Amino acid sequence: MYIIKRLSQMLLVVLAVTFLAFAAMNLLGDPLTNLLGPIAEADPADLTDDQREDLIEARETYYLDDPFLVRYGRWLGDMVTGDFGRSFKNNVEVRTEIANRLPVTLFLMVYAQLLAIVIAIPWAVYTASRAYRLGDKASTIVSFGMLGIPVFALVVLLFWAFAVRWQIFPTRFDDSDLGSRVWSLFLPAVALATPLIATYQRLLRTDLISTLQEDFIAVARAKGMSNRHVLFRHALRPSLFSMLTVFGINTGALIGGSIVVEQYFGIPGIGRAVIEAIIRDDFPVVLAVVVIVSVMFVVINVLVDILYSYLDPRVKLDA
Amino acid sequence: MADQPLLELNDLSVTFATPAGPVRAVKGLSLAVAPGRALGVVGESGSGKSVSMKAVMDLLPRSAQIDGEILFAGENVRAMSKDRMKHFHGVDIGMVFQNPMTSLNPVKRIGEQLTEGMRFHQGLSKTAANARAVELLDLVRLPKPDERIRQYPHELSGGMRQRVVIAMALANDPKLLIADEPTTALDVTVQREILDLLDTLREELNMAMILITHDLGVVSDRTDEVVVMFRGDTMETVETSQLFDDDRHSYTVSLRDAMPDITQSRDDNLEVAAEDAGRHADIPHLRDPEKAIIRVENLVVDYPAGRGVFRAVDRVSFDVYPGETLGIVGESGCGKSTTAKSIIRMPPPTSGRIWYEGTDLSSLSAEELRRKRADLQMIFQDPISSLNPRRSVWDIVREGVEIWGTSGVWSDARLVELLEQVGIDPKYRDRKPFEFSGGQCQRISIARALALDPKVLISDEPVSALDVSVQAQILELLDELKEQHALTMLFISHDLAVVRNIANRVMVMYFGRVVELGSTDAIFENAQHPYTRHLLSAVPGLEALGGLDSIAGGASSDGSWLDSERSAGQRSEEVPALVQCGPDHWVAEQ
Repeated sequence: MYIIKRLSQMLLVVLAVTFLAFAAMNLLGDPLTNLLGPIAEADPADLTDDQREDLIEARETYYLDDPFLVRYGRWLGDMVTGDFGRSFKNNVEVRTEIANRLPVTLFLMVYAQLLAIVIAIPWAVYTASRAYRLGDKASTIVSFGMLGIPVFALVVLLFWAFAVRWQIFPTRFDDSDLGSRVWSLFLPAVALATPLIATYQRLLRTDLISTLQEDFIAVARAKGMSNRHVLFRHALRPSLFSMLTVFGINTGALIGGSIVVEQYFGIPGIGRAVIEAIIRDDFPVVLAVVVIVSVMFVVINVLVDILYSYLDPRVKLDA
Repeated sequence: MADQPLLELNDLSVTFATPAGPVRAVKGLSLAVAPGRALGVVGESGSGKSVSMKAVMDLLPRSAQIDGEILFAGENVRAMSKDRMKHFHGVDIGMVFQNPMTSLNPVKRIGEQLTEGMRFHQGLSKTAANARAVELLDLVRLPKPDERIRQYPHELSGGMRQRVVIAMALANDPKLLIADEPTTALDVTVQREILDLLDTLREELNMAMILITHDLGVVSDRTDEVVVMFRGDTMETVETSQLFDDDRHSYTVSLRDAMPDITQSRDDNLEVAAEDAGRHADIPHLRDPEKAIIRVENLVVDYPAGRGVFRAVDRVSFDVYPGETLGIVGESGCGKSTTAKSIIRMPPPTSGRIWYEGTDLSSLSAEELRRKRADLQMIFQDPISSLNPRRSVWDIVREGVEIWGTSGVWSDARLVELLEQVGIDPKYRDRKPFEFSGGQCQRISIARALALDPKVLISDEPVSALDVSVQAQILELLDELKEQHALTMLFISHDLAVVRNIANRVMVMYFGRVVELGSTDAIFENAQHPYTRHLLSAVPGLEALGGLDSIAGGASSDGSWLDSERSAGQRSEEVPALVQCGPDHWVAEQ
């Protein structure tokens, strides 16, 4: 019941996003110009017959004479069946283009998030259990540094140090097998994960410090349980809320980050595709990416909400 | 070796390093508890009673420096290895904490929390530990234990949770149980059940117990010996039987005197009436509904709960007369606060009518109601959180006057006078709330309420969060101010002794309904309803006063009415009618 309710809310969000994106793309540029170049804007009287025919044909192929809402409805209908249309650039089906480029970007995002969580959780537990002592204070400086450094600078730094100077990691993306994929994506994933690690560590540390002052922690200690048991088995789970919330929200921001990273490391992912498409006003591609990102964002945040109720049985899945 | 003490503290001191310099929270505490005996540690907040036990349990922050000797069965606790220390905490000693609502991990099942200690310390298998957990829950008289272990803490009531905490403390058969204010957060009837349980278990398991409490009544019923502490110092150590003797330490005597006395009626109850019969019609046949300042008729308040509603207040009717203090008593969840607060429409009643000075409050527009609110002021339970921490005392007290503009009756000079009246030196008017103690904050709250020159003061548990000596001062202050400002007061409290000392009339509520209503003396000396008698019999310290008979006369408390109510699980459709049973005394039909 809850899931159905959330899914329908989710559908509305996605619809709204696609509508806004479709409207923006149509209002900001004339599709014909993108398709046919200057002839679309020239006075029809100056055109040759061939050109005029091209124009009419294009209008018919892309239904450009229909009103805006009809076109949106048609696009939406096609999109639901998985038909995102063809790219203006090379007439390739957008679906194929996305299918080629999405997996590596998804891989990179999951990689970065996993890396961030695996590093941030133990780090936060360590600092919270030693709050305001030397290790914690040093951690604060480090994590603010990680938050402060812009991705583009970090990318250059990592690339220079680990790929060029010490040559530990390859300079180019290598997709020959899973091992080399993981290895060659390590630096890009670190670059994406760095601000996430710091964010998660700060949030979890703060929540843990307040959880550690709860009575039930004193009760657990009074039962003679070990420090590790108290930290990981009692304190961690009720402290994960803020981190989890930001984890969900970050999913959108990560796409933005991956544009820079993919560009720099030459990874043929969706980030690069969308940059190229935006520059060329290739709006079937842009719209497809918008849809995918928004669906992903919404799905992950619904999952996060469901996770809340798993983390804390007092949270009920209704309302 | 019955003579060897189980736990012995010799000259124990605890010092906290604070930015303002070292603070000595415990100064040279020495005590000993023998196997099977019960020791009470009594004191007000800041006495060091909890800190000393936390020192034993190694629960103090790193900024605490501990000096002195802690011996357990002759063994030096402070020299224990890490592993021995875990065993000492988990097996030798069981600890029960004050607040059952926060002592259990909200995200773990009861069973898991009960068994983890046993599995860790005794190496029991999961099945064996679960079987033992069921046994323990049965031992603490929790019904359906095998279902409980699969539940989460939030599915249990406060009293049930405290039983779980006790079961947890008993899991590894401790020789000593330390109970730190185990019943302070609980209702009085639940308090008695829990204390009875601790007594029985102590006997069954031959455990020693240290009972930490601020309540002299609680220790007087339950312990063999008492240590009285004040600001880190030990005042005296005394056999409980001699606790109320007259040659006690002056602090012990002052603590005892500050306790509201449930046997003592307000001596002015009738005098006032005689002096000022026009305003204060305390003689019942003179009481004329036309003169009531507040009339409540068939008040219903529903709260949304899940898909349905929870009826917090169910068709309650009563009158309040000018100049009187009406005490509203009952256990948590009985609707006493909701009833009083719905008079100022916070929350607005679901149905029913409320007249204030003849005006039906529900007929007023928002603006008219806002104007009336100046007449009806409130003070709250938690003095500190009810004051805005970022504003100065002066701003807090003046705010209402500013809102009401120049029509406000108070000039600055009168506000200064008001601060003096509540016992706050006006030269501190620029200070912020955190610079004051709880009692002082409550005084500021009172000044804030009085700044608007109200006619009615609704006091919601105004002294429950305060130490007993401070409580006595605030009650006295409220009483004085009531006279000076010609106030009518609704006084909500779970503490019957306090109500006896301040109220002229008392309304007893149970499960959203009125069960008994009458003059304070009638309720306390001649309680008719089984629920009222049940409440009265649960008051701690009653033993020392000669039991229920001495205060409520005659018939014993019979739990059967309550049992049948509870097992019914829901209210009868009809509200039992209130039947007059004395000159100023009504009781619900059963």
